[in-house]
Amino acid sequence: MKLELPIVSEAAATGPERDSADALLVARVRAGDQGAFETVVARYQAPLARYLRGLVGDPELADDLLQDTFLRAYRAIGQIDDPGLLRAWLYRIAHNLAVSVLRRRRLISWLPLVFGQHVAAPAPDHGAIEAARVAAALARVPAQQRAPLLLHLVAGFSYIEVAAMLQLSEGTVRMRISRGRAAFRAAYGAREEEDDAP
Amino acid sequence: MHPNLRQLAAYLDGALDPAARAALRAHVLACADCAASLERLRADARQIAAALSAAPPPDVRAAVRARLGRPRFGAWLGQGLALAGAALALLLFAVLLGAGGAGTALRAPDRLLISDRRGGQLVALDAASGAVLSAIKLGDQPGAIAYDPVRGRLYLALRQSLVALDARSLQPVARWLAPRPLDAGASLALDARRARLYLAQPGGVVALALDAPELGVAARYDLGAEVGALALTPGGATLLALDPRAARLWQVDLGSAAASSADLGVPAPSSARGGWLAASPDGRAAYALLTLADEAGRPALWRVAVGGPAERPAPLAALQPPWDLALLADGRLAIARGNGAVGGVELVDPATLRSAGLLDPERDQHHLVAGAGASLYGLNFMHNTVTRYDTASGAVLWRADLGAGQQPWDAALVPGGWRWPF
Repeated sequence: MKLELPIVSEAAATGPERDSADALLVARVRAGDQGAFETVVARYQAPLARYLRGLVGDPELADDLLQDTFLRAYRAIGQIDDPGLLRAWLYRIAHNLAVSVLRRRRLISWLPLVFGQHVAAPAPDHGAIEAARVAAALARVPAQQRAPLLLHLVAGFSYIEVAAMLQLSEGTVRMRISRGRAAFRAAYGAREEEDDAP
Repeated sequence: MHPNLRQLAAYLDGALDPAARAALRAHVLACADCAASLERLRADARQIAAALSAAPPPDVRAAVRARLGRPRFGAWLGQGLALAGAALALLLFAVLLGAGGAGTALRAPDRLLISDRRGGQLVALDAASGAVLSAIKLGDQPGAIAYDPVRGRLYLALRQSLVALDARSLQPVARWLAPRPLDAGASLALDARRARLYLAQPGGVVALALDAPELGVAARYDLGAEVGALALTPGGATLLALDPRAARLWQVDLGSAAASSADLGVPAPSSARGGWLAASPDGRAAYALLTLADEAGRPALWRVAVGGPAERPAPLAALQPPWDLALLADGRLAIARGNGAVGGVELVDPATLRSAGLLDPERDQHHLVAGAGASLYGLNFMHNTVTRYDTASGAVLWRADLGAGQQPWDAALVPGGWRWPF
């Protein structure tokens, strides 16, 4: 099965904007301030981990991709013309790495099994069970809908920003997100019915 | 017939055409089952976010550090603390020095009031020397600032409010709570004579009434635009509003509230595009500067006749990326340039829109504040410096390093006056 998510051009992440803290961090990293890069990692590791876990479904793989994201970012940070767009740039890197890995491993065909492995032995508390249910339902959302769905609903990017990031039209992004919502609801609702069955 | 899940989801994401949307809305209002389905779709978004946040976030700092093969991050901390300590000592010294002069009749200096975004404070510099005079903590992140000479007030944009401060004491005197967060990059436009302060809000611009006891909305201009930069023509007759994403310049006739817009002809919308505005001294033209203005991603400068169309854009000189545009007292334009290390201030001839010089190219600048005569102040929010230029001679008159932990973001000049010893 072919993964249809595109690789996003990281060059598209340039252009001035005034996100002060990020711009400052980028400037300091460029000036050789290692502490500033650690701040970048500290600031973005949790949200990027959420995105990657949601996209690839495997927490361990997601955490490996997270490290790779920051390594790539460190090497390329001198190329950002617009330091204020650091956040979107990091998401692009993470997205592209995840898509590459998914393509390479043909994960798309067995993603539900990966989710299934983690769903199989959830911790007994309600939160973990619920998280596993959500993960299982999310795995049933096609990847090309899952990526914009997560970027919009979880990472908080607007439709227009997601469109720029994935190089799609805004209308296509809206459609994919809405179909992703519907697919998620169908899968999650079916799971609820199974669980509620006597 | 009930809509299916896809149709309900498409309704939520604005993916239906207007007729289908209206029909679905009418149905949902009358159908409890479909209303419940819609609510479940909305709740799913919260459910997904919560589930992905349920697992503890990883901490990959040590792993990244090890893979980069670098010494432990944080060696900088000692240096940073030392610099911060030195800055604090300088600040205390300056404040004490200022207090010592309180019993003497003297002329208060012209002050440059700087919003320090990272430090969450307002810093006053002596505009003549660059010395730090005072600083007050705001407990919030300040952004744009404007000085109102009629009321002796400063208006300062915070994250979700706009506060008026007494310009002498710097104490707050009024506040307006914005319904939406204020964009860090959005500018203010002040018409002190007509007691109106304009600021960008989602979809357009609001005008705050300044003479009421509390700041409140006097007018809204719904432009359907994501406004980044604002400017007023000198007489205050026209409000200029630039939507950098759409590369569109809006003009609002404040007498009739009629709005019109000029498409600057940039190929595609981009949320990464930055833009700045200035109005010509005679009020007949606006200058708009946009980044990502052509297929190659280069910036360009436009002159747009007030009430008329845009001229062809002038490509900018091949210098470091632009960060701001200001109109100097002599009518020339100044563009802040910087790549995080070098850049300078480019001077531009307003008639030809061609480069007429570059000041201080070894330093980058991000925000410009024009003063009287030939004076110009450059703020660098990456290296925390403020620089005063004499644009006639090209000289750097002073440069103040505010130190680590501070970030000069915007500034307003407040003229001094005679201060009596009581």
